[in-house]
Amino acid sequence: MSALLDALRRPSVTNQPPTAREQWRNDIAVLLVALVALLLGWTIRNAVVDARSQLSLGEGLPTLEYPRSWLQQGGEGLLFQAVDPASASTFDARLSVALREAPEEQTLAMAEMTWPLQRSKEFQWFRHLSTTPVTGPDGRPALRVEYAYIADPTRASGGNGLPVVVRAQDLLFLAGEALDTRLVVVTVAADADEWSEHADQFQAIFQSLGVKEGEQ
Amino acid sequence: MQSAQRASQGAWQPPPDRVAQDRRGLWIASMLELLGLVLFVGLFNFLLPDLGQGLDGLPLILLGLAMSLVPAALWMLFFHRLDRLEPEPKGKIAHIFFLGALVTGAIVQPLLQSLFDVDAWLYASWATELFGGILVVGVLHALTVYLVVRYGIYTDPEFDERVDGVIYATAAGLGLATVLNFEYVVAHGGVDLDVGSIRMVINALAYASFAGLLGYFLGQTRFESTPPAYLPAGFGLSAAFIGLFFFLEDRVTSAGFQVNSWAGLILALVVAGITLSLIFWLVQRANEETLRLAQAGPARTTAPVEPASPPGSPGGSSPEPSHESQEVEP
Repeated sequence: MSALLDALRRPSVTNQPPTAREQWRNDIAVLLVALVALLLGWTIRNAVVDARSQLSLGEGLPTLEYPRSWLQQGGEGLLFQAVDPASASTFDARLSVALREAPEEQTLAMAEMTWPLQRSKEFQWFRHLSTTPVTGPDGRPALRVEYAYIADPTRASGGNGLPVVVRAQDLLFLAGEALDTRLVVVTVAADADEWSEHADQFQAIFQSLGVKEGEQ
Repeated sequence: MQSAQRASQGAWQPPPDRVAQDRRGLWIASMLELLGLVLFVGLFNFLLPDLGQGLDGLPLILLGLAMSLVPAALWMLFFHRLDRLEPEPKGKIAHIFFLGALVTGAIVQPLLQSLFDVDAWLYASWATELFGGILVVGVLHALTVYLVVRYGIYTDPEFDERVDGVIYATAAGLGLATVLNFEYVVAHGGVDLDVGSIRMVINALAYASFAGLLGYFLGQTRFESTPPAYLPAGFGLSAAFIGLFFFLEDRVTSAGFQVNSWAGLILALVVAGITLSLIFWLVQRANEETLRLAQAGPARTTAPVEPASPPGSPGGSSPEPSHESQEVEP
Protein backbone atom coordinates (compact mmCIF):
# COMPACT_ATOMS: atom_id res chain seq x y z
CA MET A 1 0.00 0.00 0.00
CA SER A 2 2.79 2.39 0.95
CA ALA A 3 4.61 1.46 -2.27
CA LEU A 4 1.49 2.33 -4.26
CA LEU A 5 1.07 5.66 -2.48
CA ASP A 6 4.75 6.36 -2.95
CA ALA A 7 4.43 5.71 -6.68
CA LEU A 8 1.35 7.94 -6.78
CA ARG A 9 2.97 10.91 -5.14
CA ARG A 10 6.47 10.52 -6.53
CA PRO A 11 6.36 9.43 -10.15
CA SER A 12 9.60 11.23 -10.92
CA VAL A 13 12.62 11.68 -8.75
CA THR A 14 14.23 14.20 -11.04
CA ASN A 15 11.78 17.14 -11.27
CA GLN A 16 12.30 16.81 -15.00
CA PRO A 17 9.44 18.18 -17.07
CA PRO A 18 7.91 15.87 -19.64
CA THR A 19 8.88 16.16 -23.28
CA ALA A 20 6.30 16.71 -25.99
CA ARG A 21 6.83 13.10 -26.97
CA GLU A 22 6.05 11.95 -23.43
CA GLN A 23 2.89 14.06 -23.40
CA TRP A 24 1.85 12.51 -26.68
CA ARG A 25 2.62 9.05 -25.29
CA ASN A 26 0.45 9.79 -22.24
CA ASP A 27 -2.46 10.86 -24.45
CA ILE A 28 -2.22 7.75 -26.58
CA ALA A 29 -1.94 5.52 -23.51
CA VAL A 30 -5.06 7.04 -21.91
CA LEU A 31 -7.02 6.80 -25.15
CA LEU A 32 -5.95 3.17 -25.56
CA VAL A 33 -7.03 2.32 -22.02
CA ALA A 34 -10.38 4.04 -22.66
CA LEU A 35 -10.81 2.25 -25.97
CA VAL A 36 -10.05 -1.18 -24.53
CA ALA A 37 -12.39 -0.54 -21.58
CA LEU A 38 -15.19 0.59 -23.89
CA LEU A 39 -14.72 -2.46 -26.11
CA LEU A 40 -14.97 -4.70 -23.04
CA GLY A 41 -18.04 -2.77 -21.95
CA TRP A 42 -19.52 -3.17 -25.42
CA THR A 43 -18.91 -6.92 -25.20
CA ILE A 44 -20.70 -7.09 -21.85
CA ARG A 45 -23.55 -5.04 -23.29
CA ASN A 46 -23.95 -7.35 -26.27
CA ALA A 47 -23.72 -10.44 -24.09
CA VAL A 48 -26.57 -9.13 -21.93
CA VAL A 49 -28.72 -7.71 -24.72
CA ASP A 50 -28.31 -10.77 -26.94
CA ALA A 51 -28.72 -13.30 -24.13
CA ARG A 52 -31.76 -15.48 -24.74
CA SER A 53 -33.82 -17.86 -22.65
CA GLN A 54 -35.47 -20.82 -24.28
CA LEU A 55 -39.06 -21.78 -23.79
CA SER A 56 -40.41 -25.11 -24.92
CA LEU A 57 -44.10 -24.77 -25.70
CA GLY A 58 -44.70 -28.43 -25.00
CA GLU A 59 -44.38 -31.86 -26.48
CA GLY A 60 -44.68 -31.74 -30.23
CA LEU A 61 -44.60 -27.96 -30.14
CA PRO A 62 -41.77 -25.69 -31.18
CA THR A 63 -39.31 -23.89 -28.91
CA LEU A 64 -38.96 -20.12 -28.83
CA GLU A 65 -36.33 -17.76 -27.46
CA TYR A 66 -36.88 -14.47 -25.65
CA PRO A 67 -34.54 -11.91 -24.02
CA ARG A 68 -33.05 -13.28 -20.81
CA SER A 69 -33.50 -9.96 -19.01
CA TRP A 70 -37.29 -10.22 -19.32
CA LEU A 71 -39.17 -11.31 -16.23
CA GLN A 72 -41.69 -14.13 -16.17
CA GLN A 73 -45.18 -13.20 -15.05
CA GLY A 74 -48.37 -15.14 -14.63
CA GLY A 75 -51.33 -14.36 -16.84
CA GLU A 76 -54.87 -15.66 -16.87
CA GLY A 77 -55.35 -18.26 -19.59
CA LEU A 78 -51.73 -18.01 -20.66
CA LEU A 79 -49.17 -20.77 -20.93
CA PHE A 80 -46.37 -18.28 -20.46
CA GLN A 81 -45.76 -14.55 -20.19
CA ALA A 82 -42.57 -12.49 -19.87
CA VAL A 83 -42.24 -8.72 -19.65
CA ASP A 84 -39.41 -6.30 -20.25
CA PRO A 85 -38.82 -4.56 -16.91
CA ALA A 86 -36.77 -1.85 -18.65
CA SER A 87 -39.77 -0.58 -20.60
CA ALA A 88 -40.24 3.13 -20.08
CA SER A 89 -44.02 2.87 -20.41
CA THR A 90 -46.33 1.76 -17.61
CA PHE A 91 -47.31 -1.00 -20.04
CA ASP A 92 -44.21 -3.22 -20.19
CA ALA A 93 -43.33 -4.73 -23.55
CA ARG A 94 -44.25 -8.40 -23.35
CA LEU A 95 -44.40 -11.82 -24.87
CA SER A 96 -47.22 -14.20 -24.09
CA VAL A 97 -48.11 -17.67 -25.30
CA ALA A 98 -51.54 -19.27 -25.17
CA LEU A 99 -52.71 -22.67 -26.30
CA ARG A 100 -56.34 -23.03 -27.26
CA GLU A 101 -58.09 -26.25 -28.06
CA ALA A 102 -59.10 -26.14 -31.69
CA PRO A 103 -62.32 -27.73 -32.90
CA GLU A 104 -61.82 -30.63 -35.26
CA GLU A 105 -62.94 -28.63 -38.24
CA GLN A 106 -60.74 -25.64 -37.31
CA THR A 107 -58.57 -24.36 -40.14
CA LEU A 108 -56.29 -21.40 -40.35
CA ALA A 109 -58.63 -19.84 -42.87
CA MET A 110 -61.38 -19.97 -40.28
CA ALA A 111 -59.11 -18.50 -37.66
CA GLU A 112 -58.33 -15.64 -39.99
CA MET A 113 -62.03 -14.78 -40.03
CA THR A 114 -62.81 -15.28 -36.37
CA TRP A 115 -59.67 -14.28 -34.51
CA PRO A 116 -60.00 -10.48 -34.77
CA LEU A 117 -63.60 -10.78 -33.61
CA GLN A 118 -62.52 -12.85 -30.63
CA ARG A 119 -59.79 -10.35 -29.73
CA SER A 120 -62.23 -7.47 -29.99
CA LYS A 121 -64.19 -9.08 -27.13
CA GLU A 122 -61.08 -9.31 -24.97
CA PHE A 123 -59.66 -5.81 -25.38
CA GLN A 124 -61.07 -2.31 -25.06
CA TRP A 125 -61.18 -0.07 -28.13
CA PHE A 126 -59.78 -2.89 -30.24
CA ARG A 127 -58.66 -2.01 -33.77
CA HIS A 128 -57.73 -4.72 -36.24
CA LEU A 129 -54.84 -3.40 -38.33
CA SER A 130 -53.85 -6.25 -40.64
CA THR A 131 -53.64 -10.00 -41.16
CA THR A 132 -50.66 -11.43 -43.02
CA PRO A 133 -50.14 -15.08 -44.00
CA VAL A 134 -46.61 -16.18 -43.09
CA THR A 135 -44.63 -19.39 -42.89
CA GLY A 136 -44.66 -20.64 -39.33
CA PRO A 137 -42.66 -23.19 -37.33
CA ASP A 138 -41.55 -26.28 -39.27
CA GLY A 139 -42.81 -24.70 -42.46
CA ARG A 140 -46.46 -24.79 -41.36
CA PRO A 141 -48.79 -22.07 -42.52
CA ALA A 142 -49.34 -19.35 -39.95
CA LEU A 143 -51.03 -15.99 -39.60
CA ARG A 144 -49.68 -12.76 -38.20
CA VAL A 145 -52.51 -10.57 -36.94
CA GLU A 146 -51.67 -7.01 -36.02
CA TYR A 147 -53.97 -4.89 -33.89
CA ALA A 148 -54.15 -2.13 -31.28
CA TYR A 149 -56.21 -1.49 -28.18
CA ILE A 150 -56.36 0.62 -25.05
CA ALA A 151 -54.92 -0.80 -21.82
CA ASP A 152 -55.02 0.65 -18.32
CA PRO A 153 -51.96 -0.92 -16.71
CA THR A 154 -51.89 1.13 -13.49
CA ARG A 155 -55.55 0.63 -12.62
CA ALA A 156 -55.10 -2.78 -11.05
CA SER A 157 -52.49 -1.42 -8.65
CA GLY A 158 -54.66 1.55 -7.69
CA GLY A 159 -52.49 4.02 -9.60
CA ASN A 160 -53.88 6.87 -11.63
CA GLY A 161 -51.60 6.69 -14.66
CA LEU A 162 -53.04 7.38 -18.07
CA PRO A 163 -54.36 4.54 -20.24
CA VAL A 164 -51.96 3.37 -22.91
CA VAL A 165 -52.43 2.63 -26.59
CA VAL A 166 -51.00 -0.84 -27.06
CA ARG A 167 -49.82 -2.23 -30.37
CA ALA A 168 -49.64 -6.01 -30.64
CA GLN A 169 -49.07 -8.90 -33.02
CA ASP A 170 -50.44 -12.43 -32.69
CA LEU A 171 -48.77 -15.31 -34.45
CA LEU A 172 -51.34 -18.07 -34.96
CA PHE A 173 -50.62 -21.60 -36.08
CA LEU A 174 -52.13 -25.02 -35.57
CA ALA A 175 -49.99 -27.63 -33.85
CA GLY A 176 -50.16 -30.66 -31.65
CA GLU A 177 -49.37 -34.32 -31.24
CA ALA A 178 -52.45 -35.38 -33.09
CA LEU A 179 -53.16 -33.65 -36.35
CA ASP A 180 -53.51 -29.91 -35.76
CA THR A 181 -55.41 -30.11 -32.51
CA ARG A 182 -54.38 -26.88 -30.87
CA LEU A 183 -54.24 -23.30 -31.88
CA VAL A 184 -50.99 -21.74 -30.67
CA VAL A 185 -51.11 -17.99 -30.12
CA VAL A 186 -47.79 -16.21 -29.62
CA THR A 187 -48.38 -12.55 -28.81
CA VAL A 188 -45.93 -9.68 -28.64
CA ALA A 189 -47.18 -6.30 -27.39
CA ALA A 190 -45.82 -2.92 -26.38
CA ASP A 191 -46.87 0.68 -25.83
CA ALA A 192 -47.50 1.94 -29.38
CA ASP A 193 -45.05 4.81 -28.76
CA GLU A 194 -42.30 2.30 -27.94
CA TRP A 195 -43.06 -0.24 -30.64
CA SER A 196 -40.11 0.70 -32.81
CA GLU A 197 -37.71 0.32 -29.85
CA HIS A 198 -38.86 -3.26 -29.31
CA ALA A 199 -39.37 -4.24 -32.95
CA ASP A 200 -35.99 -5.99 -33.19
CA GLN A 201 -36.67 -8.05 -30.06
CA PHE A 202 -40.11 -9.06 -31.33
CA GLN A 203 -38.67 -10.00 -34.69
CA ALA A 204 -36.01 -12.13 -32.96
CA ILE A 205 -38.72 -13.94 -30.99
CA PHE A 206 -40.62 -14.81 -34.17
CA GLN A 207 -37.41 -15.77 -35.95
CA SER A 208 -36.57 -18.20 -33.14
CA LEU A 209 -39.83 -19.97 -34.04
CA GLY A 210 -38.70 -20.14 -37.64
CA VAL A 211 -41.28 -17.64 -38.89
CA LYS A 212 -40.60 -16.39 -42.41
CA GLU A 213 -42.37 -13.78 -44.45
CA GLY A 214 -44.76 -15.08 -47.12
CA GLU A 215 -46.53 -18.38 -47.55
CA GLN A 216 -44.58 -21.49 -48.39
CA MET B 1 21.58 20.37 -20.90
CA GLN B 2 19.53 17.25 -20.94
CA SER B 3 16.74 18.95 -19.09
CA ALA B 4 16.88 21.96 -21.34
CA GLN B 5 16.50 19.67 -24.31
CA ARG B 6 13.54 17.94 -22.72
CA ALA B 7 11.78 21.21 -22.01
CA SER B 8 12.56 22.55 -25.45
CA GLN B 9 10.49 19.70 -26.86
CA GLY B 10 7.51 20.41 -24.61
CA ALA B 11 5.38 23.32 -23.51
CA TRP B 12 6.45 26.10 -21.21
CA GLN B 13 7.51 24.92 -17.77
CA PRO B 14 7.26 27.10 -14.66
CA PRO B 15 9.91 26.94 -11.94
CA PRO B 16 9.56 24.25 -9.21
CA ASP B 17 8.51 26.67 -6.48
CA ARG B 18 5.67 27.76 -8.72
CA VAL B 19 4.65 24.21 -9.59
CA ALA B 20 4.70 23.26 -5.92
CA GLN B 21 2.69 26.26 -4.77
CA ASP B 22 -0.11 25.31 -2.42
CA ARG B 23 -3.61 26.68 -2.55
CA ARG B 24 -5.14 26.49 0.86
CA GLY B 25 -8.21 28.17 -0.58
CA LEU B 26 -9.00 25.13 -2.71
CA TRP B 27 -9.01 22.74 0.20
CA ILE B 28 -10.98 25.05 2.48
CA ALA B 29 -13.42 25.75 -0.36
CA SER B 30 -13.84 22.01 -0.93
CA MET B 31 -14.54 21.34 2.73
CA LEU B 32 -16.94 24.29 2.88
CA GLU B 33 -18.58 22.85 -0.22
CA LEU B 34 -19.29 19.63 1.69
CA LEU B 35 -20.80 21.66 4.51
CA GLY B 36 -22.73 23.88 2.12
CA LEU B 37 -24.21 20.89 0.33
CA VAL B 38 -25.36 19.38 3.62
CA LEU B 39 -27.08 22.69 4.41
CA PHE B 40 -28.57 22.71 0.91
CA VAL B 41 -30.09 19.28 1.51
CA GLY B 42 -31.25 20.31 4.98
CA LEU B 43 -32.92 23.40 3.56
CA PHE B 44 -35.14 21.42 1.20
CA ASN B 45 -35.79 18.54 3.56
CA PHE B 46 -36.35 20.27 6.90
CA LEU B 47 -36.82 24.02 6.52
CA LEU B 48 -38.69 24.14 3.21
CA PRO B 49 -40.03 20.63 2.72
CA ASP B 50 -43.20 21.92 1.04
CA LEU B 51 -41.48 24.29 -1.37
CA GLY B 52 -42.25 22.27 -4.46
CA GLN B 53 -45.80 21.41 -3.49
CA GLY B 54 -48.40 23.05 -5.63
CA LEU B 55 -45.86 23.47 -8.40
CA ASP B 56 -45.99 21.38 -11.52
CA GLY B 57 -45.00 21.58 -15.15
CA LEU B 58 -42.67 24.39 -16.17
CA PRO B 59 -42.32 26.16 -12.78
CA LEU B 60 -41.28 22.91 -11.09
CA ILE B 61 -38.83 22.11 -13.88
CA LEU B 62 -37.33 25.60 -13.67
CA LEU B 63 -36.95 25.33 -9.90
CA GLY B 64 -35.36 21.89 -10.30
CA LEU B 65 -32.99 23.19 -12.95
CA ALA B 66 -31.96 26.10 -10.73
CA MET B 67 -31.34 23.60 -7.92
CA SER B 68 -29.13 21.45 -10.12
CA LEU B 69 -26.78 24.41 -10.57
CA VAL B 70 -26.43 25.00 -6.83
CA PRO B 71 -23.58 22.51 -6.07
CA ALA B 72 -21.36 23.97 -8.81
CA ALA B 73 -22.30 27.54 -7.90
CA LEU B 74 -21.45 26.90 -4.23
CA TRP B 75 -18.01 25.51 -5.08
CA MET B 76 -17.23 28.42 -7.39
CA LEU B 77 -18.44 30.91 -4.80
CA PHE B 78 -16.31 29.44 -1.99
CA PHE B 79 -13.31 29.09 -4.27
CA HIS B 80 -13.70 32.66 -5.52
CA ARG B 81 -13.82 33.97 -1.96
CA LEU B 82 -10.88 31.94 -0.70
CA ASP B 83 -8.54 31.96 -3.67
CA ARG B 84 -7.17 35.46 -3.20
CA LEU B 85 -3.41 35.00 -2.92
CA GLU B 86 -2.69 33.90 -6.49
CA PRO B 87 -6.19 33.91 -7.89
CA GLU B 88 -6.91 31.45 -10.65
CA PRO B 89 -8.76 33.26 -13.45
CA LYS B 90 -12.42 32.68 -12.76
CA GLY B 91 -13.25 33.04 -16.44
CA LYS B 92 -11.09 30.03 -17.25
CA ILE B 93 -12.61 27.96 -14.46
CA ALA B 94 -16.08 28.85 -15.74
CA HIS B 95 -14.90 28.02 -19.27
CA ILE B 96 -13.83 24.52 -18.20
CA PHE B 97 -17.07 24.07 -16.23
CA PHE B 98 -19.18 24.92 -19.28
CA LEU B 99 -16.95 22.87 -21.57
CA GLY B 100 -17.43 19.87 -19.26
CA ALA B 101 -21.19 20.43 -19.31
CA LEU B 102 -21.26 20.87 -23.08
CA VAL B 103 -19.25 17.74 -23.88
CA THR B 104 -21.35 15.72 -21.45
CA GLY B 105 -24.68 16.98 -22.76
CA ALA B 106 -23.82 16.97 -26.45
CA ILE B 107 -21.65 13.87 -26.80
CA VAL B 108 -21.27 11.63 -23.76
CA GLN B 109 -24.85 11.25 -22.56
CA PRO B 110 -26.23 10.68 -26.09
CA LEU B 111 -23.51 8.04 -26.53
CA LEU B 112 -24.49 6.34 -23.28
CA GLN B 113 -28.21 6.48 -23.98
CA SER B 114 -28.25 5.72 -27.70
CA LEU B 115 -25.18 3.79 -28.71
CA PHE B 116 -24.61 1.89 -25.46
CA ASP B 117 -28.30 1.99 -24.48
CA VAL B 118 -27.26 1.52 -20.85
CA ASP B 119 -30.81 1.52 -19.48
CA ALA B 120 -31.53 -1.68 -21.40
CA TRP B 121 -28.80 -3.79 -19.83
CA LEU B 122 -26.79 -2.07 -17.10
CA TYR B 123 -29.12 -3.14 -14.29
CA ALA B 124 -29.66 -6.70 -15.52
CA SER B 125 -27.48 -8.07 -12.68
CA TRP B 126 -25.06 -6.87 -10.04
CA ALA B 127 -22.14 -7.92 -12.25
CA THR B 128 -23.30 -5.90 -15.26
CA GLU B 129 -23.99 -2.92 -13.02
CA LEU B 130 -20.52 -3.07 -11.49
CA PHE B 131 -18.44 -3.85 -14.57
CA GLY B 132 -20.63 -1.93 -17.02
CA GLY B 133 -20.62 0.98 -14.60
CA ILE B 134 -16.82 1.02 -14.57
CA LEU B 135 -16.03 0.09 -18.18
CA VAL B 136 -18.67 2.19 -19.88
CA VAL B 137 -20.11 4.89 -17.61
CA GLY B 138 -16.99 5.45 -15.51
CA VAL B 139 -14.63 5.42 -18.47
CA LEU B 140 -16.75 7.78 -20.58
CA HIS B 141 -17.18 10.22 -17.71
CA ALA B 142 -13.50 10.10 -16.76
CA LEU B 143 -12.61 10.54 -20.43
CA THR B 144 -14.82 13.62 -20.54
CA VAL B 145 -12.93 15.20 -17.65
CA TYR B 146 -9.59 14.17 -19.13
CA LEU B 147 -10.26 15.56 -22.60
CA VAL B 148 -11.81 18.79 -21.30
CA VAL B 149 -8.83 19.55 -19.06
CA ARG B 150 -6.23 18.21 -21.49
CA TYR B 151 -7.44 20.20 -24.47
CA GLY B 152 -9.22 23.03 -22.66
CA ILE B 153 -6.55 24.35 -20.29
CA TYR B 154 -3.59 21.96 -19.94
CA THR B 155 -1.16 23.89 -22.15
CA ASP B 156 -2.38 27.28 -21.03
CA PRO B 157 0.18 29.35 -19.06
CA GLU B 158 -2.41 29.64 -16.30
CA PHE B 159 -2.00 25.91 -15.73
CA ASP B 160 1.25 26.49 -13.86
CA GLU B 161 0.80 24.68 -10.56
CA ARG B 162 0.38 21.03 -9.76
CA VAL B 163 -2.85 21.75 -7.89
CA ASP B 164 -4.31 23.42 -11.00
CA GLY B 165 -4.99 19.92 -12.29
CA VAL B 166 -7.28 19.34 -9.31
CA ILE B 167 -8.96 22.75 -9.65
CA TYR B 168 -9.78 22.50 -13.35
CA ALA B 169 -10.71 18.81 -13.25
CA THR B 170 -13.09 19.52 -10.36
CA ALA B 171 -14.67 22.30 -12.43
CA ALA B 172 -15.07 19.90 -15.37
CA GLY B 173 -16.51 17.23 -13.05
CA LEU B 174 -19.03 19.69 -11.65
CA GLY B 175 -20.05 20.65 -15.21
CA LEU B 176 -20.62 16.96 -15.91
CA ALA B 177 -22.62 16.50 -12.69
CA THR B 178 -24.74 19.56 -13.47
CA VAL B 179 -25.79 18.10 -16.82
CA LEU B 180 -26.66 14.77 -15.17
CA ASN B 181 -28.77 16.68 -12.67
CA PHE B 182 -30.43 18.65 -15.50
CA GLU B 183 -31.29 15.38 -17.22
CA TYR B 184 -32.69 13.95 -14.01
CA VAL B 185 -34.96 16.96 -13.54
CA VAL B 186 -36.18 16.99 -17.13
CA ALA B 187 -36.69 13.21 -17.26
CA HIS B 188 -38.84 13.32 -14.14
CA GLY B 189 -40.83 16.40 -15.18
CA GLY B 190 -39.40 18.39 -12.30
CA VAL B 191 -38.33 16.67 -9.09
CA ASP B 192 -39.51 15.90 -5.65
CA LEU B 193 -37.36 18.66 -4.18
CA ASP B 194 -36.32 16.90 -0.97
CA VAL B 195 -35.27 13.62 -2.59
CA GLY B 196 -34.10 15.50 -5.70
CA SER B 197 -31.77 17.73 -3.69
CA ILE B 198 -30.10 14.66 -2.17
CA ARG B 199 -29.65 13.07 -5.58
CA MET B 200 -28.09 16.25 -6.96
CA VAL B 201 -25.68 16.56 -4.06
CA ILE B 202 -24.61 12.92 -4.41
CA ASN B 203 -23.84 13.45 -8.12
CA ALA B 204 -21.93 16.65 -7.46
CA LEU B 205 -19.86 15.16 -4.63
CA ALA B 206 -18.98 12.05 -6.57
CA TYR B 207 -17.95 13.73 -9.80
CA ALA B 208 -16.11 16.59 -8.11
CA SER B 209 -14.11 14.08 -6.01
CA PHE B 210 -13.24 11.56 -8.70
CA ALA B 211 -12.54 14.26 -11.29
CA GLY B 212 -10.29 15.90 -8.70
CA LEU B 213 -8.40 12.63 -8.34
CA LEU B 214 -7.86 12.45 -12.10
CA GLY B 215 -6.85 16.12 -11.93
CA TYR B 216 -4.06 15.23 -9.50
CA PHE B 217 -2.59 12.84 -12.08
CA LEU B 218 -3.00 15.44 -14.81
CA GLY B 219 -1.19 17.97 -12.64
CA GLN B 220 1.63 15.49 -12.06
CA THR B 221 2.09 14.60 -15.72
CA ARG B 222 2.00 18.24 -16.74
CA PHE B 223 5.11 19.05 -14.72
CA GLU B 224 6.87 15.73 -14.15
CA SER B 225 8.30 13.14 -16.45
CA THR B 226 6.25 10.10 -15.44
CA PRO B 227 6.36 6.38 -16.23
CA PRO B 228 4.20 5.36 -19.22
CA ALA B 229 1.56 3.67 -17.04
CA TYR B 230 1.21 6.55 -14.59
CA LEU B 231 -1.50 8.66 -16.25
CA PRO B 232 -3.45 5.66 -17.61
CA ALA B 233 -3.42 4.26 -14.05
CA GLY B 234 -4.83 7.52 -12.72
CA PHE B 235 -7.43 7.56 -15.44
CA GLY B 236 -8.39 3.94 -14.71
CA LEU B 237 -8.53 4.64 -10.97
CA SER B 238 -10.90 7.54 -11.50
CA ALA B 239 -13.15 5.52 -13.84
CA ALA B 240 -13.14 2.57 -11.43
CA PHE B 241 -14.08 4.78 -8.49
CA ILE B 242 -16.98 6.31 -10.45
CA GLY B 243 -18.38 2.89 -11.36
CA LEU B 244 -17.76 1.40 -7.92
CA PHE B 245 -19.24 4.38 -6.12
CA PHE B 246 -22.53 4.33 -8.03
CA PHE B 247 -22.70 0.55 -7.63
CA LEU B 248 -22.37 0.90 -3.85
CA GLU B 249 -24.70 3.88 -3.87
CA ASP B 250 -27.40 1.74 -5.48
CA ARG B 251 -26.89 -0.99 -2.88
CA VAL B 252 -27.01 1.45 0.00
CA THR B 253 -30.04 3.46 -1.14
CA SER B 254 -32.17 0.55 -2.35
CA ALA B 255 -33.04 -2.07 0.22
CA GLY B 256 -35.90 -4.14 -1.17
CA PHE B 257 -38.75 -1.80 -2.03
CA GLN B 258 -37.46 0.89 0.35
CA VAL B 259 -35.38 3.80 -0.90
CA ASN B 260 -33.09 5.33 1.68
CA SER B 261 -31.61 8.46 0.12
CA TRP B 262 -30.04 9.57 3.39
CA ALA B 263 -27.81 6.51 3.53
CA GLY B 264 -26.69 7.36 0.01
CA LEU B 265 -25.91 10.92 1.05
CA ILE B 266 -23.85 9.77 4.03
CA LEU B 267 -21.89 7.40 1.80
CA ALA B 268 -21.25 10.21 -0.70
CA LEU B 269 -20.09 12.58 2.05
CA VAL B 270 -17.74 9.99 3.52
CA VAL B 271 -16.31 9.04 0.11
CA ALA B 272 -15.89 12.69 -0.91
CA GLY B 273 -14.21 13.52 2.41
CA ILE B 274 -11.78 10.62 2.10
CA THR B 275 -11.04 11.31 -1.58
CA LEU B 276 -10.44 15.02 -1.02
CA SER B 277 -8.19 14.27 1.95
CA LEU B 278 -6.24 11.76 -0.13
CA ILE B 279 -5.81 14.26 -2.98
CA PHE B 280 -4.77 16.95 -0.48
CA TRP B 281 -2.20 14.61 1.06
CA LEU B 282 -0.87 13.49 -2.33
CA VAL B 283 -0.50 17.07 -3.56
CA GLN B 284 1.23 18.13 -0.33
CA ARG B 285 3.69 15.25 -0.47
CA ALA B 286 4.39 15.73 -4.17
CA ASN B 287 4.96 19.46 -3.61
CA GLU B 288 7.37 18.74 -0.78
CA GLU B 289 9.23 16.33 -3.02
CA THR B 290 9.46 18.88 -5.82
CA LEU B 291 10.83 21.55 -3.48
CA ARG B 292 13.25 19.14 -1.82
CA LEU B 293 14.67 18.12 -5.20
CA ALA B 294 14.82 21.73 -6.36
CA GLN B 295 16.87 22.64 -3.31
CA ALA B 296 19.11 19.60 -3.62
CA GLY B 297 19.97 20.32 -7.26
CA PRO B 298 17.72 22.22 -9.63
CA ALA B 299 16.92 20.04 -12.57
CA ARG B 300 14.05 21.96 -14.07
CA THR B 301 14.54 24.29 -16.92
CA THR B 302 12.21 27.22 -17.15
CA ALA B 303 12.89 28.11 -20.75
CA PRO B 304 9.62 29.27 -22.28
CA VAL B 305 9.47 27.45 -25.56
CA GLU B 306 6.41 27.65 -27.74
CA PRO B 307 3.85 28.32 -25.04
CA ALA B 308 0.20 28.10 -26.03
CA SER B 309 -0.04 31.71 -24.97
CA PRO B 310 3.21 33.28 -23.83
CA PRO B 311 3.26 34.50 -20.24
CA GLY B 312 2.90 38.21 -20.13
CA SER B 313 1.03 38.33 -23.40
CA PRO B 314 -2.62 39.43 -23.42
CA GLY B 315 -3.66 35.80 -23.46
CA GLY B 316 -1.53 34.82 -20.51
CA SER B 317 -2.10 36.66 -17.29
CA SER B 318 0.10 34.54 -15.05
CA PRO B 319 2.69 36.21 -12.90
CA GLU B 320 6.06 36.56 -14.57
CA PRO B 321 7.87 33.24 -14.58
CA SER B 322 11.62 33.04 -14.38
CA HIS B 323 13.05 32.70 -17.86
CA GLU B 324 16.42 31.47 -16.77
CA SER B 325 17.53 28.11 -18.01
CA GLN B 326 19.17 25.90 -15.47
CA GLU B 327 21.55 23.09 -16.10
CA VAL B 328 20.91 19.65 -14.74
CA GLU B 329 23.23 18.20 -12.21
CA PRO B 330 23.28 14.52 -13.10
